Amino acid sequence: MKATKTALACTFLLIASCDTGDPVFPDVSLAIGDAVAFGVWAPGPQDTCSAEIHDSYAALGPDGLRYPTWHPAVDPATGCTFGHEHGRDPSGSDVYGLVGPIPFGYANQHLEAGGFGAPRNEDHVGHKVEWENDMLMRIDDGGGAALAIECDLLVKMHQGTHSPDAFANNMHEVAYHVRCSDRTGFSITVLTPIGTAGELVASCDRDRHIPIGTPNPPISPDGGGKRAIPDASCVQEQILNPADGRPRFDSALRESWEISVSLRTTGNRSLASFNPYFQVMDPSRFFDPNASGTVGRPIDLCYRPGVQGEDRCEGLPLDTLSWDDPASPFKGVRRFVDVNSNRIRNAEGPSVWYTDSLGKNGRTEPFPGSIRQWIGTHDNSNYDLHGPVIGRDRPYDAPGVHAPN
Amino acid sequence: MKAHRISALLVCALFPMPSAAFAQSPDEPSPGGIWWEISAGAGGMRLTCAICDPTRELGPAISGAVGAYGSPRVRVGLEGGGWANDDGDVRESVYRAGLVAQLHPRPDSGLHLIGGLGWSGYRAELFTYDAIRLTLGAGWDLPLTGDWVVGNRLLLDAASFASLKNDEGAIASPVGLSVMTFGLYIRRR
Repeated sequence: MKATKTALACTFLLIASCDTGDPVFPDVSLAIGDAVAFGVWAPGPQDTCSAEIHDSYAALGPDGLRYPTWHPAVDPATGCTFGHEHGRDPSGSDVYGLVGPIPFGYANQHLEAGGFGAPRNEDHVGHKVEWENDMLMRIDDGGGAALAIECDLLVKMHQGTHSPDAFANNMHEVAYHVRCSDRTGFSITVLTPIGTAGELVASCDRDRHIPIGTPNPPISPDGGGKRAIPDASCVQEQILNPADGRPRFDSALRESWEISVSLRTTGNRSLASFNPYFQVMDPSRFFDPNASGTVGRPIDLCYRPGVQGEDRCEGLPLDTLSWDDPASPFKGVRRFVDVNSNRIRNAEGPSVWYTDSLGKNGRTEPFPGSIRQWIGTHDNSNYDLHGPVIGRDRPYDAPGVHAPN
Repeated sequence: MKAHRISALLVCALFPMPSAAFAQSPDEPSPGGIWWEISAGAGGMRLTCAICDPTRELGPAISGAVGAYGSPRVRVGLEGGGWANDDGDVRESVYRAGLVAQLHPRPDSGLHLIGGLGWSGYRAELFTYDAIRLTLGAGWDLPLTGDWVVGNRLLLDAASFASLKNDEGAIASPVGLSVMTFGLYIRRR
């Protein structure tokens, strides 16, 4: 049985590595098993879809395993609700035809087999998709006047904003697919460490680093960028005791996960890098060391004197809402992405590289636990290809959506 | 609106008023005589490459030339000029220098053909482009008084086979550059 699975996995690997240069995902019915991330979601009391319906939305990973993938917040066939959303339907992306459905949890799945000494699995609802076609990129130092480079971007970030997970844990999965008119292009899936493990940065004061405790896994490496997350001090300053008496939820409750991903060879040469900022308004949590589980709930602020009926609390019922009530505005459905830099240094090729889940140890041949990455044969290191902000006016609220989302 | 303006300018340049109204002065310049002129107008510039902005940017253009008559109907000389446009916060400029020749096909007509060969350089902050440039065009002289002539002209500068660069190196190659200019000039012959 084990030999059969190995043979099938190799077959999938070959299919995924065919000479188109782009990843190809066969039909999910060919799955040889389920990934750890598959089947972990179960409906809560407010959700009307069954786990079976939820699991019908699946993608086949290049490893032949079945993974959860994007689905609408409301099942179109039955009208039932899942209670969470994964952002923008990726099938509308011009890149979708090249990369297929995004397997959620693929880098998590291969973390240990790739040589990392501990597992790291993330919840289901935190996987968020965003994309934009034909983005006009910015090139600094005069390049914007001379050049007109457009990119298609499809990105999936695991960004849970409802639990204490990201307070201390800095390893989060990102799948990033970009194709540009200047031949910049790559498809990268990694588990990227964001900022320092075991601490967060206060969103209202980026110089304030707040130690949280031991991360999970404890051997999480530090990474570039930061996780700027609101804490109780931000809430005090901008909601409960603002200088002018006006609470400002968007100023206080804004998360910015500023990632810095670099795919590197075994010799530590950078092949491709990108550094988008994933921003969330109205998260359903903030860090409060005095709260149960260190998680403060923004909805509770709406029932404080001076805040009730103000700003984001306007129109809420007088009876206290629970933090996971669909009527609460604090469920992390207002998101946007600062695309920022997209760099590629792979002029000599090849276009297919294999790395571990952290995007390191890149080789041209697969190895146990490796992830197949596609990087175009191009070098754009002579200029800084900056992307715009995408998704700002595209909230993802839908019937039944509630925290945790 | 810009397209309409350009069309109007093209019509003016290509279909000048009846030749009798603009005929050359009977006092023909002698070979070896010195001439000079200055010109001002508007031009549309475009870089051409796979990733270049395809928009033709409009901006003011000026030029000057000095030279000598090879014959009563042929002028040759050295010219230089520039074009500029503000694209947002970025100032785009094109500089040009080189040789120019102007030929009157008919002695009794203000129509003259213009040809040139030289250098054109594009600048936008750190982005640069330098190439050999050909110029083709036509103009129409209107004798003013004595040795002075005014007129209008349409010129096309075209360059190719060079690279757009910044301080890190080549960004795109090959890149073409074209500048179409309509201008008014005054010349002393």
